[in-house]
Amino acid sequence: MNTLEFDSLYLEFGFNRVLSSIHMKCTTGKLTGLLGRNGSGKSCLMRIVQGSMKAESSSIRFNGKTLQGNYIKEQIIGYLPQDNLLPAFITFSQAIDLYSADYRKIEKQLPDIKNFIDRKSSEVSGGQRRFFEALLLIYSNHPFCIMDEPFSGLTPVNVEKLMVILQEEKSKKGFIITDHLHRSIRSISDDLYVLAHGKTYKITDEEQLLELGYLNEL
Amino acid sequence: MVIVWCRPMRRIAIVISCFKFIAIPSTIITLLSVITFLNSGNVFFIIVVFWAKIITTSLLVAYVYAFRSKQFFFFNNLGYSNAAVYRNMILVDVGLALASFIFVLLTL
Repeated sequence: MNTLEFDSLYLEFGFNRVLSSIHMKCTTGKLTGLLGRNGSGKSCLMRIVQGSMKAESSSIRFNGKTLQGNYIKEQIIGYLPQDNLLPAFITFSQAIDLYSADYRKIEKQLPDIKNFIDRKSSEVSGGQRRFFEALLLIYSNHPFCIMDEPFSGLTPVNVEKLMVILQEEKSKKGFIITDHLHRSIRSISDDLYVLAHGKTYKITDEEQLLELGYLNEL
Repeated sequence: MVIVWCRPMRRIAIVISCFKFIAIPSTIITLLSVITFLNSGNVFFIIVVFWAKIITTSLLVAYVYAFRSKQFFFFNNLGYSNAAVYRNMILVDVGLALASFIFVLLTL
């Protein structure tokens, strides 16, 4: 079982403190959900943990070992950004090859892929591309996967499908997921956090979502 | 068609993919530089062409930094930092330009 834990994370933009008191822990076998209002710093937090953004200070640990310097090269954390993951010039088959992802598993979940496997990502609908990108990361070899709004642009059928896949695959890798479809996130998360006022709050009672101002009603 | 690549092949494929961010304009600039150099017929003109290539490559990298760097997450997941993506991009571009210039110098 792998563990990804991060805390002591501070981020400021000028005089605006975005992240100040963060503590989150994610383990294989558990799906960790992260909720937060627009502009609360969720994407920044995820990019810092992934390693592509620098914070004033941070402590990120993988199986107890502190990750320092350019740990992106260790390929511990796969990251699905809010925007497109695939560059426009990459074909779907190239993406599968480079990520060493399991094609049969992707094809099982997305049978249509046969029709556009050799096409560039820019030539396919946004929903199909998004679903493929999520599957690509799920079936790649990273022990942890951070997904920023994976459900955006997906049809309800594919949202449900992706939720089932995440539940099936969480025994093999750890997932941190954020999305504005809070009901979906709440229903699949084993651990749920809310990011508010630059701090993470572990949710043990749904009433906390009201207290933190994330929801107006349950 | 899905291919299973060995490690060096995969690495080469990633390096070439990084170059694709600037491949079309950069190749056009290299070709134009070579044609200008050939037409001039002057060996010392290589200095002007070389600096023109360096400046245009810098501008292309600045463009990628400003407008396309969000697509680097694809390469981050493959173990390549943003700096490594830029390095690969410049390496292939400058490598191709140098090879073209050397070829022209040998034929002049």
